[in-house]
Amino acid sequence: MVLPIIIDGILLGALFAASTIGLSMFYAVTGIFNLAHGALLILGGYLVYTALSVLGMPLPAAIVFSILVLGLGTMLFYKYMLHPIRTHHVTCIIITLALLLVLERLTIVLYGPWGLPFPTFIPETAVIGGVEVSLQKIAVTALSLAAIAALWLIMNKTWLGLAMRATIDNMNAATAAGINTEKIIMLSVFISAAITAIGGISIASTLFLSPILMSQMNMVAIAVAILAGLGSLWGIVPAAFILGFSDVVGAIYLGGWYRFVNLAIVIIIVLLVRPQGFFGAKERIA
Amino acid sequence: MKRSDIYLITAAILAIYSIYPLLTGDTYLLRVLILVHIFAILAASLDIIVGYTGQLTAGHTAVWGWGAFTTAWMILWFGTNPLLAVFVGALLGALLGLGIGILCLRFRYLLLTLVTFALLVLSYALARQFTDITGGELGLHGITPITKNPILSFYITFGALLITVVSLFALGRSRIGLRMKSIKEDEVAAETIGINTVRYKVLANVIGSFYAGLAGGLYTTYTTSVGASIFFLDHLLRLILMWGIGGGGTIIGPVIGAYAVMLLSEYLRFIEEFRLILLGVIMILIMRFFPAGLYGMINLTLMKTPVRGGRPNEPPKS
Repeated sequence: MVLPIIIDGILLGALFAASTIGLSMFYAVTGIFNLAHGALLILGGYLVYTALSVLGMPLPAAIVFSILVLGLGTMLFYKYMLHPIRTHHVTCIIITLALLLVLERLTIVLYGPWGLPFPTFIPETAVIGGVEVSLQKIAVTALSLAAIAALWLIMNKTWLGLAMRATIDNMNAATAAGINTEKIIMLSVFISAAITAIGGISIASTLFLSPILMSQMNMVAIAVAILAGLGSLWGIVPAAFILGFSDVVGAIYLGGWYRFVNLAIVIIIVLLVRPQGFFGAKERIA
Repeated sequence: MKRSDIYLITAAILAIYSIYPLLTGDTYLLRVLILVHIFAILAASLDIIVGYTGQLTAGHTAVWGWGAFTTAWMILWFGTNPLLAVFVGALLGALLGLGIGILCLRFRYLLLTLVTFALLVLSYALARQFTDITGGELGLHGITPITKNPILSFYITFGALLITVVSLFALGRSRIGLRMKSIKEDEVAAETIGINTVRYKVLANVIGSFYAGLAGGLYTTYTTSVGASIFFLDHLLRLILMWGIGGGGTIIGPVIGAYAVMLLSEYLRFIEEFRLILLGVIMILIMRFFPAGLYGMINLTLMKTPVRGGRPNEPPKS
């Protein structure tokens, strides 16, 4: 009974982490909380589906296609719609809410309101300690974790990452030091959307594809980001695993309705008790 | 155009509008307009919280929903008069507003939106879980309507809308409203000149939530049913669309927005799902390029005076 919980928790935790890190990065760089994140996430999955089934691309090309389309789309939207008014917080939140509505409805129009089956690439299963786990789930988890690791490497071991961290810390000082902060912001938005696309692909290939998931994953991403501390990138990983495990345990013992209550209560309590989150390296309060 | 001319035209439009139901036999349009009135009350009351004190609350539809549930319970369990039940719903709304207002004192800007959003989700989960009280997804049915006559319903909801708009507009123009607006513009500066920001932020929540509860009661007595679906995100998104398209911070703007959104989505039925996409895109463009909204556009063309509004507070970026 314990082993399946652990395995499911790890799989779900990695999924949550990959789904949330884009939201947190977008917030850290731009100061705008993207309420349309869930829609972008699931759209990443839909783009892969489109590339595979409509355009007939092989899987790696489809993943690249999804990342490029989602990344460029988010970047352009940010550049023309949000960047010029990014200090008007309430307006920006409302615009992202409207974007959530538009993307959700657009997906329903284009792909239908029901769930779409995502092709299984690795049908084999592995047996871990007597528990059967599909290899595809393991591969997807590895992909999510690899994406997070790649982001960590970029952020911490390259000049580009240094420039990004400088921009996040203090934009004016970064500009004074000769960093083209506008370009860095655009690039960071692109990277955050790219990770989001990978998270979406993970969701699509382990769960299913449905417009309903957009608001559900939005809620999950918000809860994880808040538990981690808004704008904290690396706090996402422990926070995601905590919520992943609590989700699995709660679903077994308390039933499906527990999920939303859990997330909502986590958001309220964390914000009441410790608004800067539990794993934030920095004290960043919106 | 002169100011007096505009008052005259407005009065003429209102007069025509208020005798319209007696002249027409088109009950379909009447039914749409009744819903418009209810949502206009909701949008106007949202404006006193968002447009005046700058607290972008996502829990407004939660208050609306609990107001609706309270009204339903009063009628179904205690057999009260529907009008009294609506009033009780509004009082419960005010009570919830007091709670939310006090809870939200801790938060500003984004965090406030997220907490209230969590409250909305929590409301949905609770309403879906305790099915023996709330009826769950299927909901409670057979609630006694105030009146079955659509023309009378029209006048009741229209009267409620007029009372709401007039009282909120007067409040907005009074000293209290000015103090609330100063909180939206700059909370620290408002505190510095001696405004009790705590009191006015909570007050805005209480007043706004009172009317939200009223709208909930009117909604449930009109549709004669209420279920967990009242807490769906769709209602919140539609409310925000009304607020944004109409132009926030003006009370009348969101009411115009409610008419625009509801009538457009009613008469654009032939494009099905695309109408919400269209409205969403319009809203994004309005918020980005013309935050004063439809009300601001009307004002600009008629009176050549720009309206300040829609785009509140610029917090310091940490």
